Amino acid sequence: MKIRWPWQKKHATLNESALENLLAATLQPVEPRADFVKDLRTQLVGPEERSFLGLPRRSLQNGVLVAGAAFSVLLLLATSVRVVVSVLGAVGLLHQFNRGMKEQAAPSPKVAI
Amino acid sequence: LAGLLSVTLPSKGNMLHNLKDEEVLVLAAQGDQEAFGVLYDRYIGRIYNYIYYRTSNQHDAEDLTARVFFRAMKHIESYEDRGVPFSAWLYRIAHNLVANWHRDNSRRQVVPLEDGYRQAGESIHPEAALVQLEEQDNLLNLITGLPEDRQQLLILKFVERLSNAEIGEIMGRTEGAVKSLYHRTLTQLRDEFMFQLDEDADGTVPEQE
Repeated sequence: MKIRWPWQKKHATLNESALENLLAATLQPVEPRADFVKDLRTQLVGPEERSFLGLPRRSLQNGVLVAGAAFSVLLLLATSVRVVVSVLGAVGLLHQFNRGMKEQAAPSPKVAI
Repeated sequence: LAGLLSVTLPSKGNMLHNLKDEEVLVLAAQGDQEAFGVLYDRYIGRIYNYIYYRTSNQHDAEDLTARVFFRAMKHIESYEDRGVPFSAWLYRIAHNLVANWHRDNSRRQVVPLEDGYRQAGESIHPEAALVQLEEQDNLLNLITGLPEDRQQLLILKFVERLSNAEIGEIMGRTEGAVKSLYHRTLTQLRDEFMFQLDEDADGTVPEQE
């Protein structure tokens, strides 16, 4: 430990807040290497669970969920179209049937011979 | 579609991430590796930073950080919550390992921190930036010469950005004691720094401690 005599402090001055600012600028957080973090995690708790596709299991679950939802929507749309077509077909058939019945019930026009 | 794709299932990992340290710790102590993984994710950066600034080099920081977590995993079953947070327990392990490291390497010359860890303000003039980097170098040298507890305090306060109360829990001191130590540290550091500036201004070579 060096001894600082009062007369040795002669030039510079630095207040506490300036020193704190300098400390904050000097002691900046650093990021550990990503490979190091990943490897150490693997050594400690094993690799993150991955599916056979190489994707994280959660991503695969999400993918299946989204695909299932999309398929359901398509199926619903197709069913709706089919229902509309069926109803229109049934209406058309009834209309046709009614017209046929009317034609049968009505006397046929007499043709003068 | 983007909204749909961002949907996440409530997996165990997600649930663990929402729990407090103490709750995750209970699971980890029962041998739940995923729970320990969550604690690891939370503290790897902080422990690494602490050790990095105490050892001044990346290689030893990585080595000691790995040892901290291996030791924590080994002894997590025997961890007892005595009002000391898990983070304080981890820092205590790190502190002991760093102290041993310093003792084992006491004859070895301290290697300065690698280039690239510091950045002067981007908007300032290059010459001013150079001066600032030089000041930061000097300050770092002075910090590494401080007693261990003062170094620890500065790292926890400025690198980890912890409050005096949190630092007190880690260092096993009261908040008031931490505050007092902090002011004594600042005073010592300011005096040393000013003395160095004076010596530089006089054109004398600063004496190596």
